[in-house]
Amino acid sequence: MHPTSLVLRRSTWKGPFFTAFPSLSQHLKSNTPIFTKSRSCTIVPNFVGLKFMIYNGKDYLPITVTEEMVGHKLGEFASTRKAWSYR
Amino acid sequence: MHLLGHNLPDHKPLKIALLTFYGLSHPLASRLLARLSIHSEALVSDLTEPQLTSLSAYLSSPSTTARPSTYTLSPPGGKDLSPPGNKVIFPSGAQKGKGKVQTQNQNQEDSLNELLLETEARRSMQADIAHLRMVGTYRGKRHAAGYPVRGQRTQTNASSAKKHNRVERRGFASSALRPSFSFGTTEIPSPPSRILRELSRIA
Repeated sequence: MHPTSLVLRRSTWKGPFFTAFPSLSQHLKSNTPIFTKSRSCTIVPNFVGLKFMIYNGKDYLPITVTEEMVGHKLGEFASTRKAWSYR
Repeated sequence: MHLLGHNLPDHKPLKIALLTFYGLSHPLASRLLARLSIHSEALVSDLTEPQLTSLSAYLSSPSTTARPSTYTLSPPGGKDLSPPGNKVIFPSGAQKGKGKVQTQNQNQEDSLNELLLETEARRSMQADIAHLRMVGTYRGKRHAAGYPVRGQRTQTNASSAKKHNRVERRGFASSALRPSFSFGTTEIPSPPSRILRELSRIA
């Protein structure tokens, strides 16, 4: 539909960008979260069911990966902004 | 002229008047005219009856209307008429270099074939936003809060975002022409009151 979505897309031959986490299956088995700072890592299908602790610049926020999250980046789920409210 | 519940003013060029349909952009409108063999600068008043029927047939269901034929047109001289079904656009050797580009274009799916119009386009747009909100992304949160989604400043400006960004976002036609909504007033989504809007932001 939109030409920009084809033209400005990342090259197909590169594939999605993701960090290779060692011992994914171990974490899945033991149900322990993976502490990570790589917010730019794309969620690939074999992350589903894993727990992540994603750094937002201050502390690590817990996220459980579900099927709908595939294709998004890890950082999208850990807000770096502080919610503002009247005191 | 009235077409599928929209008022197309007679004095306007057809490619401009078509923008009242939500989902039809400038480039798509002119490509649609090319496909239906209507002159690109034709006014709405110039439309003949068969052109009008083909136009309304396309606009009522873009995905199910007949595709344009892939038969080769005859070249300017009238010679070199290849048999029907042959997809070579430039049969002569002089334009062989362009052959590669042509095959690429043929492989590409025509976006007019799966165009979403009006309610379907609005629904797919709202479904995209609802997905972002449901999954819990930052972009979904910004939509829900009525703030700019792509990192724009909010201390000043951001008035368009405050006006439009919702989870249940309303879609308007891309031109200044407003659809006349002659199909019934009940289908027009009414803007929520200010109190309701504030409540939805908090929720």
